[in-house]
Parts: sequence; C-alpha cells; structure tokens
Amino acid sequence: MIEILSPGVMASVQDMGRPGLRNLGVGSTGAMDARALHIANLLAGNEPGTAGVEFTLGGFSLRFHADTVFALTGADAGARLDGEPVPAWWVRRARAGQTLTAGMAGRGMRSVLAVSGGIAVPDLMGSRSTDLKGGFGGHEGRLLRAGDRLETGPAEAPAMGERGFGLAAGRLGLLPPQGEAEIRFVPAAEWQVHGPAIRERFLASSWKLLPDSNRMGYRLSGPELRRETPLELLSHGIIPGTIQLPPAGQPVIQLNDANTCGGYPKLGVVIEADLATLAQVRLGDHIRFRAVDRAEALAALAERAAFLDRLPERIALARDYSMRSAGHD
Amino acid sequence: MTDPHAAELRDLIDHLARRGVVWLSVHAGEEALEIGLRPATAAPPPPPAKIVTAQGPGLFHPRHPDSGTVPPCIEAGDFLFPVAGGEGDEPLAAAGAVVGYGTPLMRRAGASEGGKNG
Repeated sequence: MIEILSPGVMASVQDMGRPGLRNLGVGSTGAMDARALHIANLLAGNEPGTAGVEFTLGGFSLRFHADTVFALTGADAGARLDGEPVPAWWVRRARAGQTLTAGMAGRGMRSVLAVSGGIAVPDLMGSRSTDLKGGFGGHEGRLLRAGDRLETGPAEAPAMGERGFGLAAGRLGLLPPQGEAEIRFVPAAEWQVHGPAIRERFLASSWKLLPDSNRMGYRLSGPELRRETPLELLSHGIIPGTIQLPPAGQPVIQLNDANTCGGYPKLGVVIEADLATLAQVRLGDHIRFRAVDRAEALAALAERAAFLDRLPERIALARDYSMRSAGHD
Repeated sequence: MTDPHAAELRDLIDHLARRGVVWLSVHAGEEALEIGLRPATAAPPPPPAKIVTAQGPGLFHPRHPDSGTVPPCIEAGDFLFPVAGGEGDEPLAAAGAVVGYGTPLMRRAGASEGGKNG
C-alpha cells in the first residue's frame, strides 16, 4: 500500500486507458505519457499497461507501507527517498515506512510512478484509469488527495540491488523537451480547405502552450489563423492528438480526457509516437509543428515499438548486474 | 604552554591518540620528553578512507548524467548503475572515462560509510 501525503498540483491513477469505447461516449483517458508508464512498469516488473500514478509538475509526497520496488519515469522532479536522490527513469527498492518526496519538476510536465504489482483500484470497462470528466474509474473517480491510501496488487517484487538502477534517458532520447518542442503531425481532414495562408502560418509559427491547458486539451497561442468565411461542421469523432482550429484562430489539441466528438475544423493529428513528447511540454513553453506523411508516422511508431519490445530482456540483464554490484555493498 | 607550535603539537597528539598511541617519547641526546596521550575529544578513530572500485565495465559518471545529482553512475548499455558515493567524495576516474572491473572510481569522504563498491 502507498499513502499519498501530498498529491502536488494534480495526481491521478492511470493505465493505458479505455480504447475502443468512443462509440459509447467513453473517452480514452489513460496516462498522458504512455511511453513513460510503459517503461516504468517494465522497470518495476509489471505488465506494461499496469495502473500507476501520474503526477503533474512534481511537488508530491507519499509513504510506502510495505517493502516494494518502484520506478519513477517522465519529468525529473528531483525525487528523494528518505532524502536519498532518486533520478527520473530509475527503479529501486523502498522499505515500509520510507517516504518519497519530489520538488517541482525542473524539466517536463508529468512524472509517472509504477509500483510492483500496480495500483489495485477496480477495473472498470477494461481499465483502471481515472475518467475525471465522467467521475469514474481510478481511485473513487477523482484526483488523488492527501491521505488517500492506494492498495497495490499481489506481486513478487523483482530482485535487484537496494539502490536499483536507471535508464540512460538522455542518450536514449527519453528526456522531456527543453525549449521549443518539435511535434510531428499528419495533415488531415480540413487541412486543404483552410487555404495556403493559414497552412503556411501554422507551420512557420512557434506556438505557446497556454496555462489553461490540461488533460482534456492544449490551448495554443500564436498568430491568428482566422478564416475569412466560417467553416461549420457537424460534430464528428475525434481522437487524442486531433488539432482543431476554432473560429478564434488559435489551435487546440484534443488529448486523453477530451470529449469523444467535436465540431471544430481540423488541421491534422499529432502522430502517436510524439504524444509522449507533447505530454511533457511545459505550460508556457513553445511547440513547432512539422508535417509528415502517414508512412513517416508509422515508421516512428514502429521505431518506438521496437525499442519497447527490446526493453524487457535488457532490463532482466540490468537486474542481474544490479544484484552482482549490490553484493559488494 | 605559550609556544607558537602548541596548536600543531595539540593536533599531533590528537591525531596519534585517535589511532591508539598512548605514549610519546622524544629523545634528543641526553634529553628526553615523554608525553602521555589523551585525545582532546572522545570521538572514535576514523576508519581509513575507502576506495570505491568498478564492479563491471562501462562509462563512469561522477554525477548522474541527466540530473546532475548523486549517485555517481556507471553507464553500461542502455542503463545506469549507481556507484557507492555521495557529496564530497573525490572522483578518482575522469568523467566519461571507460572503466573496467576493479578500476578505482571514488575515494569516500565519509569514511564511516566506506568500503562499498560500484
């Protein structure tokens, strides 16, 4: 069991969400940085889609009530276990009574905690994710609060040295973006209808992520992309990553907690491989879009999948190495 | 004692006493000085400094390469493995150096925590 002492700005239980239920009006939800959750789970000895806790901008604190193994990925919030630094993309043991605290994230937006056995909240419609808009799933269908106690599932924690090990995240390209982030998208839907002036300005501009952005969507600020004649559409299905252009001329990116349908004209869709990067862009930072075709989008996804597929075997070797090193402590 | 070397002599006596020396005799020809030693403090003698060595091959990072904090790490393949060490320890290998089994990495400053290997 873990006890939330402070959730920080915003924390919720998330797994890989509820795909395939949009026809019922049930949104995706799930970890915003799915890659970070996937890797955290592998490090903690779980299946990739096991439920963990997503923290926003750090500032959290929690206590372990049983010996366990945990992994922390995503944004580096300078976490410490009873005062001992725990870098991001790291897995290690925790003893009952130890406290994990984090400062404000210095780089990136979201940290993901995976605990051996996963967070054992009820499975609802195939997922343990919190649907904040619908008020169901996760822990009581809501954001985590101080004092919440989260049970963990049964598991045999993987063997490793006490202080564990980490991923060489910088070299592996896992670190959150710093400064302007390049986000790839596939132009789609009404892209051609918007005309060359809007298309060129959209591609040439650096877009600021506004502070009222959240898990539902990112609001962007930049040059106005107003159409001379309004374009009205019937509501239609949208997916996380859909880039819309509302009448005010400032793009919006729909994300995990968005409605399942919307009616604004679209510019395209962020490629799935870049959603993890997008999730880590900090409020106030900038995004520049690069148009790619479907083939490049699929190649990027295949490259990420290949990396994730190789990880379990490598992590097993790393655990062995960690054990041997620990034997000399 | 008002000799200008009194402080240095006091340090020497403390240093020897902490290492278990209980009697100091200094002879100069016919003259002899004998001093019974008692340390000025009751602190136990510090253990000798410990050298942390590498337990496998890799690149040595005196600080975590991404966060810049402790722990020092050895990078092997896609992974970082912590090396025993903390603030104030003295790196014995250069940052980014290729190290192998047994390569000296750090000299522990806090000797009471010493003896760990990376």
